[in-house]
Amino acid sequence: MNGKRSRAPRGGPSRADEELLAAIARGDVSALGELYDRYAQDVWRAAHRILAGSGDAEDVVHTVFMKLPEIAASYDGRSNARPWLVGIAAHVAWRQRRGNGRFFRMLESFASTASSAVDLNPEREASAREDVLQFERSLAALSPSKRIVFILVEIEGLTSEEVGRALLLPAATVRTRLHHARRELDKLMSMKEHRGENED
Amino acid sequence: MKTDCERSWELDALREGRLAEKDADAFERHLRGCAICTHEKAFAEKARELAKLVPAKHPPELQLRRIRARVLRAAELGVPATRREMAPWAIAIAAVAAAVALGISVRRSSSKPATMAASASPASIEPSSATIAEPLTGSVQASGGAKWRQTRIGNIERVTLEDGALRIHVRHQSLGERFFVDTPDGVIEVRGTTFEVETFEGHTTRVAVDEGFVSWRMTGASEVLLHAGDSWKPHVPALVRATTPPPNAHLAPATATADDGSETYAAAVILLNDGEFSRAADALAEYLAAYPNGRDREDASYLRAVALVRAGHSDEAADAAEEHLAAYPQSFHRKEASILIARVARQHKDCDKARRALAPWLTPPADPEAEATIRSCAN
Ligand SMILES: [Zn+2]
Repeated sequence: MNGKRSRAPRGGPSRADEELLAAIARGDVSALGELYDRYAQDVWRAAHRILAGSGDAEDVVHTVFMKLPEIAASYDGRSNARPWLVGIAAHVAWRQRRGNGRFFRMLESFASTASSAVDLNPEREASAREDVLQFERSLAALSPSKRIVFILVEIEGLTSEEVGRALLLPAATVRTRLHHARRELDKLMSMKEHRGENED
Repeated sequence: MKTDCERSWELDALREGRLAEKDADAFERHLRGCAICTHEKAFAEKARELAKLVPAKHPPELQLRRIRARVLRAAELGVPATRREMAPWAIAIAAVAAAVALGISVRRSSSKPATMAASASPASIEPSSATIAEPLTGSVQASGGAKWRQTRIGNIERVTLEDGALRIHVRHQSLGERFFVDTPDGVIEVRGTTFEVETFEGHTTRVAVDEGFVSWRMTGASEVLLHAGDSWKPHVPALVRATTPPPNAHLAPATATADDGSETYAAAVILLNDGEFSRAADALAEYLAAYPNGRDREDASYLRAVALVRAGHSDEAADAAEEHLAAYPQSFHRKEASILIARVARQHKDCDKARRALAPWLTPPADPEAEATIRSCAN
């Protein structure tokens, strides 16, 4: 998923994530560019999912990378920076949508348009079966605090500890929410299976 | 029918290997006889599979390139994150990052971060993105006879509508950019959106949003968020436009006076963006003193607090933030100002004061940033 996109700087092998972050903390702009090329798209995708199409994923990318020079020194040095960056992006995105107040409503309206909002790329079109669409709609209808946990763990692949750090929650709370998220998804999906529609 | 099993939480623990061997065996035995846990396990697997099949949207290449250029340029210039909307997030992110690494809170350094070494090759930076004047970001269609003007100073764009109706499309605002529409009796803050606003005889008579959302604040009233499909009308019937609009052909020129302070204000904002925090604070104070009716006073009084904290004068900054909140209880910056006050109180280990400042943001559902600020306060 990552690494393939990274472009090695002229005349040198590409540096490992932790080297890049150490260099960024020392003020190395080229390292910042390299890390950006490696992860900006992942950060954007995570933000886009969390924001449910409300359109500010670019702001999240901008914020995360603008702040990196300042926060790079606090990186814990593990070899894959993706969970850390996605965690920061999640934090920023979460804050962003908390700030806009009525986003429960927005999520509801998103739920009804989720399937049209995603653009299917051709090679995956075949797999966009009805149950995937239904799953997406149900996911969009989850309460935001459950939804973000589900996305970060099951789609973005973060551990509950990583999610906890990003959202300032105890890992145990993250696990509980994940558990509830699944139950709610289960309920939503079986409801839709049996009834098909539900308008207010 | 029983729908819940108190042991089902152990499914995740089992999968992640967090159960001791003995407990894992016991739970597996339970699993074989428990329809609920079996169902939950199957659904969890199905959900995980479906989650993988959800198609990912393609990131916007061009925009990501532009952001890259901006980020690298800022790093190269050693520009701290002075763009206004960064400030509250910056604090939160620094706290998160520090919590990740150290398990303790971080006090934001008040000194300028070291200038980044200019080791990026110039070719990797898109030229001109930060050097040319930004064009206007809102396009305006006006009704016949509408009286309005549009200005942009630095990152702040304003449409001032005195009378008539406008349909405005605002392109997505980058971080630090702000777009306001001033009406005779209120102000609308806009992100990327399309909306209509109508005024009549000194009153706003309609705000309607087609896309995105806007924040509408009528003088003396609290903020209303309007989303796509929402429209706002005043409750007072007298203010609602009569069926036929009166002829309003003779237009007075826009009422801008020779010196409304906007240049002083703009100069201060430029200083702030350039990292000249002390000078920015002085310039903002000067603006506030000289232009008691200045249009940007609300922003200026908040920015003065920001400039002071960045300049390292945190006590003065907290005072300035308090003055700001006293003068503008409905400020667009009220949360940021409160957090600033709380952070300074935290430096003095005055957690009670910090908590008081953050009180509006701590009632459930508590704001994570406010929570983080108070959580790391220990006296
Ligand atoms: Zn069971």
